[in-house]
Amino acid sequence: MPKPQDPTRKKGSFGPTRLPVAVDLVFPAGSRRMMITGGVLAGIVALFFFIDTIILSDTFSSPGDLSSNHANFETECSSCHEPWGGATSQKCATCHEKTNDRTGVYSYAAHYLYRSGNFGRIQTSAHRTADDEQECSTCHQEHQGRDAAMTIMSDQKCTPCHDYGSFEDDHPEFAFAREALPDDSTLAFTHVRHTRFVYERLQKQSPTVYLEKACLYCHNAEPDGKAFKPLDFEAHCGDCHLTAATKTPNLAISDPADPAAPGVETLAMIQQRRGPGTLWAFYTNPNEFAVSPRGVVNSPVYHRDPWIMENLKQLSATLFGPETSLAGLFPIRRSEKPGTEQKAYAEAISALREYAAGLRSRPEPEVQRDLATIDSLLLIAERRSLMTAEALPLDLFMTKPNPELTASQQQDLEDFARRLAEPCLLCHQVEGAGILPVRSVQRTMARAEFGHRAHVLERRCLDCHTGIPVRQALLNGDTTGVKESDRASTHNLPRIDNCRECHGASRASDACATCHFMHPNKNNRGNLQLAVDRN
Amino acid sequence: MSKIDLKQWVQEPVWFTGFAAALLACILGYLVNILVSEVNPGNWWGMTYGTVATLLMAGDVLYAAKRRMLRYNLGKSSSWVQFHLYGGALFAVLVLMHTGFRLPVGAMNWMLWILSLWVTGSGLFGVMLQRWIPTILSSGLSVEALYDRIPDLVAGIRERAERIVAGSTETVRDFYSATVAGALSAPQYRAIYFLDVTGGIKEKLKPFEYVRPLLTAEEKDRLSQLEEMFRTKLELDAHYTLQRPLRWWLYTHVPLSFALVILVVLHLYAVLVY
Repeated sequence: MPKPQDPTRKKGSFGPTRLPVAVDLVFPAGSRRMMITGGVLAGIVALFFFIDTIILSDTFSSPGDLSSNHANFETECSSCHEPWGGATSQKCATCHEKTNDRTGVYSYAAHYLYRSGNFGRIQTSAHRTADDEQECSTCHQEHQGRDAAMTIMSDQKCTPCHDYGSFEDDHPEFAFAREALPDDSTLAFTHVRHTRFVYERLQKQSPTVYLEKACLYCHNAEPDGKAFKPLDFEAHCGDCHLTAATKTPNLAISDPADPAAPGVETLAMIQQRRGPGTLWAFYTNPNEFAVSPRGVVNSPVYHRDPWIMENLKQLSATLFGPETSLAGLFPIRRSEKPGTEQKAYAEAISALREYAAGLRSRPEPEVQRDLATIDSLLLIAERRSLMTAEALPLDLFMTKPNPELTASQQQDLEDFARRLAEPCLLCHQVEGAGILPVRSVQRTMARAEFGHRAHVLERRCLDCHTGIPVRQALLNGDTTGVKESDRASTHNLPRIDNCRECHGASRASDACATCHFMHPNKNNRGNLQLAVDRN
Repeated sequence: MSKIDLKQWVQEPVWFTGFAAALLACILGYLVNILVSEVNPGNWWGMTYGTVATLLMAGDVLYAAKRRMLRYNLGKSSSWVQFHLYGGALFAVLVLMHTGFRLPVGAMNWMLWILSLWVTGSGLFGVMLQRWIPTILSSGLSVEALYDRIPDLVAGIRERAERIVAGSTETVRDFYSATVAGALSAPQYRAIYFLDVTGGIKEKLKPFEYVRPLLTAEEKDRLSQLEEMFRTKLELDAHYTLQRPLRWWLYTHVPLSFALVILVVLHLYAVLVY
C-alpha cells in the first residue's frame, strides 16, 4: 500500500508521479543571488526616487528641462502642476491671462475655444468636440529642453479638432465668400469712379504711374506694413466733399412748446441749454448760421458737424422718449436683426467709450452725471458682451418709440432728420434720426492674419483684389459687371483659390500657423482685437 | 514554389504568427497616428502605446512569478515562455512608439528607455544562446549534466579516481599525479569549447596511450577506468564552460528587469501625480 503523501512537503510537478525535487537544483543559489541583486537594484532606484521627490525637488522624475521662459520654476513642480491633476490651465492663468481678460497679450479670446474663460469646459477625453476647451498644456508642451519654443505649433496640434485635411484641397472657403456675406458698410461709395479720379490726377504728374498708386492714395499702410489705417475723411475725402459751399437746407427752428414738431435748435438755443457734450457751441462761429424767422441754414458743414449731430441727438431723444436721453449715443437701431446682438453690443460699447472719452475732462455736474450713467452702462454692457449671443438681452440699448408720438409725428421727425443730414446723405445713411455708424476698420477675416507687406513684393493690389473690376474698367475700358459690384457692400477680397496659387505643399507655407494665431501677441494683435470687439 | 515551413525556424509558429500580426497592427496604428495626430507620449495615442507596453511588461513579469509557483497549474510553461519572448519584443517596439522613436528627455526617462532596450536586447541575446548552446552540447558530447551539479559530479569522479589510484602501482600513481589529478581538482573553464565542443579531448587522452604499454593487464584495466573518468570530466568541463553563459546571461537580464519594473511603476506614479 503506498505511503500517504505529506502535503507540506515540497514536490515538483513535472509529471503525474510527483517525484521529490531537489529545490537547490530547481532554484540554485545563483538564481537566488540574481533575485537578491535585482531586488537591491530596484530598491536603490525606488529609494533614490523618493529621496529625489522629497529632497531634490523631482529633478530625477522631471521629463526634461523646462523652457527658458519657465526655467525659474524648474524645482517648483507645484507652480504648474496640481497633484493628480497635471499641468492645469488654472495654474497657467496664475501668471498668464486671467479669466475674462480681453485685451492682454495672452488672452484666450482670440480662439473661440478659449473665449469663455470657463475652465469647467475643459474636456480631456478622446471624445471631445470642437465646443470643448482644452488645457493649455495640450498644445503648449513643456519639458522639451531649455531652447524649446513651446509657442511654435505644428499643424498636428490643430488637426485633431479642425480636421480640414490639406490647405490646398480641403480648407474651407473664407466665410465672406462661402456665405456671400455683404460688407456691413453703411457708406455709399464707388471704387471705380474714385480711383479713376485719383488715377487721372496722378497721371498728370507721371503718365506711367501704376494704377495701384491710386489705391494707395486712400489705403495708407500701417507702419508695420501688414494692414491699412482706417480711412480718414479729412485726409482722403475732404478735398472734394463738404467744401465751403456745402450747406444744409433751410430747417425749421424747434418750438419748446411743441417738442413733437420737427425742428432744430439754433446755436444760441444750444448755448443756452448747456447740455452734455455741447461745449463746442461756445467756440463755434455764429456767422456760419443764417437764422431767419423761416428757419436756419448752416454753412459750411463739417464732417461730424457738431450742430447737426447735436440736433440729430435731440430729434432722436424726441423720437424715443425722454427716458432715453442717451439714445442718440447709440448706433443701435430698432431694426436690429436677430443674431446680430453681439455685434450690436460691440458697436454700442465702442460708441459709449468714444462719447465718454469726450466728456471726461468736463467739470460741469450735469456732464459728470451723464458720464456716471454712461460708465455704468458701459460696465453692464462689457459684462453682458461675454454672454452667448442667444442670452444677450438687447433691452439695454434698444430704444422704444416714444408712446406719446403718433405714427405720422414719428414719420415727420424721421423725415426731418433726413433733411437735417442732407449734406451727409451723399455717403451716409440716416435711420431713426441717427447716422448709421461706419466701420472704419477694413479687415474682414478676423480669425486669420494677413500681412500685405509680405505679399506686395510679388503681387500688386489689383492682382488679388478683383471683386470690383477696377483694373478692367480703368485700363481696358471694360465696364462689364461694374454696376453690379462697385459698391461699398462688396467684399473686394480674394477667395481662397487666390491664396492657393502660391501656398501649398512644396510651395509657400501652408501650415495653419502661417495665417492663424491662437492667442494675440505683440505683433499680431490687430485682427485678434478686432475679433474680440466684433464678437 | 514550396510553402515556407515556419516550424523550421520557430518553435511555436502560432505564437510567431500572432506576434507578426500584432507587430503589423502596431506599425499600421503608428502610421495612422502620424497622419492624423502628432506623435507624443502625452497624448492619447502615446498613452495607449505606453499602457499596452506596461501591460505586456506585467505579463512578462508574471512569467517569472509562474516559474516560482510550480505547484499550481497555471497553464503550459511553453505558452508562458512564448508570451515572455514575443511579449517582450513587442514591449520594446511599443516603448519606441511611445517615445515617437525619439531620444527621451529627463534622467528617469533616459533610464527607462535604456533599460527597456537593454532588457529586451539581453532577452533576445538569451534566446539566441538557448538556441545555440544546447545544440552544440548535444552534438559532440556523450554526457549531460546540470550546471549546478557539475562541481559535485567532478568531486565524485575525483574520489572514485583516487580510490582506484590508491591501490595501484607507482607508475599509475605518478601518471595520475602528473597528468590527471590537477584536471580533476575542480571544473575548468576553457573558451576553446565555444569553437570546438570536443575541445581536443582526444589529444588530452593520448598520454594514457603512452603509459598503457608499460603496465600489467590489471593495471591497464585501472588505467582504462581512469581514462574514462578523465574523459567524462573533460566533457563536464565543456558543459561547465558552455552552460556558464546560459546562467550568467540571466545576470544581464533579470536584475535589470527588476529595476525596469520599479521604474515603470514610478513612471506611472509620476505621470498620474504630475
